[in-house]
Amino acid sequence: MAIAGFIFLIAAHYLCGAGLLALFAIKLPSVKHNALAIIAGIVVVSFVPFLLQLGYVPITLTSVAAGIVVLCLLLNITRIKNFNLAALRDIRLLPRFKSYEVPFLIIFAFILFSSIWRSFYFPPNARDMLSGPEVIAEYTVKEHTMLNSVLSVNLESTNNHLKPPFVSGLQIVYKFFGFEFGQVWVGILAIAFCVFLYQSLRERVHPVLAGTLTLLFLAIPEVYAYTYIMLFDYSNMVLFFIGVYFLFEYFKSGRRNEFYFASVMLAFSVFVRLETLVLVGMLLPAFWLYAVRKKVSLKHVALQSIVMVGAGFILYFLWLNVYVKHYMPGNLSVVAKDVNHNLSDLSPLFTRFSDMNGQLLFGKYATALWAYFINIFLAVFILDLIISRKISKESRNWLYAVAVVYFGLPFLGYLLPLMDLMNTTKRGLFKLMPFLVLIMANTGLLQRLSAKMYSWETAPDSQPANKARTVKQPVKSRGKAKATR
Amino acid sequence: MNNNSRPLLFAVLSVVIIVLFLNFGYYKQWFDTRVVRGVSDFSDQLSYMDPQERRVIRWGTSYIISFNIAKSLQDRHMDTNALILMPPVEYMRKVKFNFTPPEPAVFYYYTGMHSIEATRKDAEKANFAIVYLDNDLQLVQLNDSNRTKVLSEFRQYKYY
Repeated sequence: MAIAGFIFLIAAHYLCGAGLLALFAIKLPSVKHNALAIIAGIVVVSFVPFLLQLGYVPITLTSVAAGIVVLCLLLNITRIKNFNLAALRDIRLLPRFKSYEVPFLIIFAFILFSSIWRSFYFPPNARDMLSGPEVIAEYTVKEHTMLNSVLSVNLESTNNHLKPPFVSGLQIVYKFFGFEFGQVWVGILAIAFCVFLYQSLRERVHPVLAGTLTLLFLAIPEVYAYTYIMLFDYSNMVLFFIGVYFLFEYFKSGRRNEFYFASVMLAFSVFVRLETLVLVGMLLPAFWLYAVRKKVSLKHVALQSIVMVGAGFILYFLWLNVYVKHYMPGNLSVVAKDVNHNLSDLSPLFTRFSDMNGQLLFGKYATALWAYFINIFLAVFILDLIISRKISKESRNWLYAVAVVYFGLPFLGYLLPLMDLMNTTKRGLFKLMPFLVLIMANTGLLQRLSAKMYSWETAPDSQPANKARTVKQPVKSRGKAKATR
Repeated sequence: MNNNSRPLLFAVLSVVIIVLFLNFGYYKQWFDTRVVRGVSDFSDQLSYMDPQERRVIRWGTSYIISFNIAKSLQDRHMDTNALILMPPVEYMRKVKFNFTPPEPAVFYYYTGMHSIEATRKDAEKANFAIVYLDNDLQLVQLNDSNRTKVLSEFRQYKYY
C-alpha cells in the first residue's frame, strides 16, 4: 500500500504543482520546474482534508483521493486543453549534469537519504505536533472528521490544535495512503527545495561554487534537523523563500504573472504559519520602491499590494475567523489573549532583538545552531564590500528580505508574547538562511571567481585561460562576466 | 592544459572541497552524528520495522508507561469513563522516577484515553491517578476520600 500510495502522492504533488505553475505561466528549466512543482503540489494537497471538512464531507481514503484528483484536474484544465502529444518527445527524463557536479550530487543524496529515511521510520516527536496537528490527523483517519474526539480532551495546556491545517492535512493524506506516521512529505519537501536552491545558484555561479554553497546550506545543523523532524518552520522557510524569489524575479522581468505567483507562494507560507502575514506586509515597501522606479500606475500598485497581502489574509481569515470560530466547538479563539496589549512598552521588543543576536545568531548557541554558516556569510560579504566596494542590485534585494526577517521576528515576538525566543524565534531564523546563500552567490567576489572558472574551463587548449576570448556561461552570469573582464 | 581534462580537475576540486568541508571543525561533528549515524543505523532499524517498536524507540518511557496504564484499564474494562490525573513533571523529578508525564493531548494520542492535570478546572472529576507509591509508579483509583489529598499534593509542583 505504501509504495502505491507513495507513487500516487508524488504524481499528485507533481501534477498539482505543475498545473499551478502552468496557470501562472511560470517557465523554468526542467529540473527546477519539477522541484518547484513538487513543492507547490505538497501545499496544494495539504488543502484537501481541510476543504472536505469545510464542506462537512466525511474524510475517508476515497474522499481524499477524489479530492486530490479533482484539484489536480482543476489546476490542469488549461494544460489538458492545450495538450500536445508531440511535446512529449521533447521531455528529457534524466537531467544533464557536468561530470564535476557528480561528487556534490552524491553527497547531497547521502545527506538527504538520511533525512527521508528518518522521516519515514520514526514517528513524529515534536511536542507541538503531538499535541496538535498530529493527534488531530490520527483521529481524523479513525473518525473521518477533523472535528474529532481530540477536541473533547482537556486542551488548556496547548494551543497547537488551533494551528493552521497544513501539517494536519498532509498527515491525514499520508496516513490514508499507507504511511503509519505520515511525515514522509517532510523529506520530499527538503529534497525538492535542495534541488530548487542548487539550480537557482547554478544559474548565477559556476556549478562547483553552487555545490559548495548548497552544501553550506544543507549543513546548517538546526535547519537540517527539520528536514526529518516534522514541524511548521522548514516548510514556512521554503515557501517564504520561493515567494520572495519570484517577487524579485518580477522586479527583474516586470512580468506580472511572476508577481501573482509570488503572492500565492507567500500566501502558502502564511497558511503554514499565520504570523508570516506580518512579514509579507513588510515586503510591500520593496514592491512600492520598485513601482516608483518603474513608474507603475497607482491603480496597479494598489491592486498588486492588495493581492500580495490579501492572498495570505484570505487563508488567515479562512482558518481563524471561519474554521476556528464557526466550526470548532466551544470558545477556542486565542487571538485576544495571545496579543500583547501593552504595545507602548517597547522593552520586550529590544530585549528580543538583543537576545536574538546575543544568544541565537552570534552568542553561545550560534555554533550549535548554524555551525559556521553566519561567520562564512559575514566573511564573504565583508570581504566583497572591501574589494568590490559596492553591493549588486540583486544582493540589495536579498538584503531587504534579510532585513524583513531580521527585524520582523523580534517585532513578532513583541506583538505575540507566545512566540518565545528558544523555539519560535529560533526556528523563524531559518528564513534568513536561503537569503544569505543567495547574497553570497551574488557578491562580486563569487561572480568574478565564477566567471574565471567558466573562462578557464572553456578556454581553447593552446591559449592561456586569462586571455581566452570564447566564454560559455549561463545566460544570467554572462553580463557580469563581461563587465568584470 | 588539455581542454577535456579541465572538467576532471573541477571534479577533483569538488571532491577536495567536500572532504575538507566535512572534516572541518563543527561540520565534522555534525556530519558524523547527524548524517553518518543516521545512515549507519539504517540496517539495524530494518530489523525493527513494526510500528509499535518504532514508537517505543522514539518516545521511550513516556510512551511505554502511558501505554501500560491504558492497557491495564482496558484489561479491567475500566477505560471508557476513565479520567486519569497526571503527576506534575516536577513531582516525577523529585521522586527520581524516569517518567515525563505527557500532557492530556499527547496522552490521548498515545492511548486514546483522557487525562488531566491537577491545576486544571475539571481536575476534581479525575477517577484515577498516577502516583509514586512504595518505590514504584502506580495507578490508583480515586474516590472522595483520597482525591483531595492527591490533588493537593500534585498542586504543590509545577507541570512545565
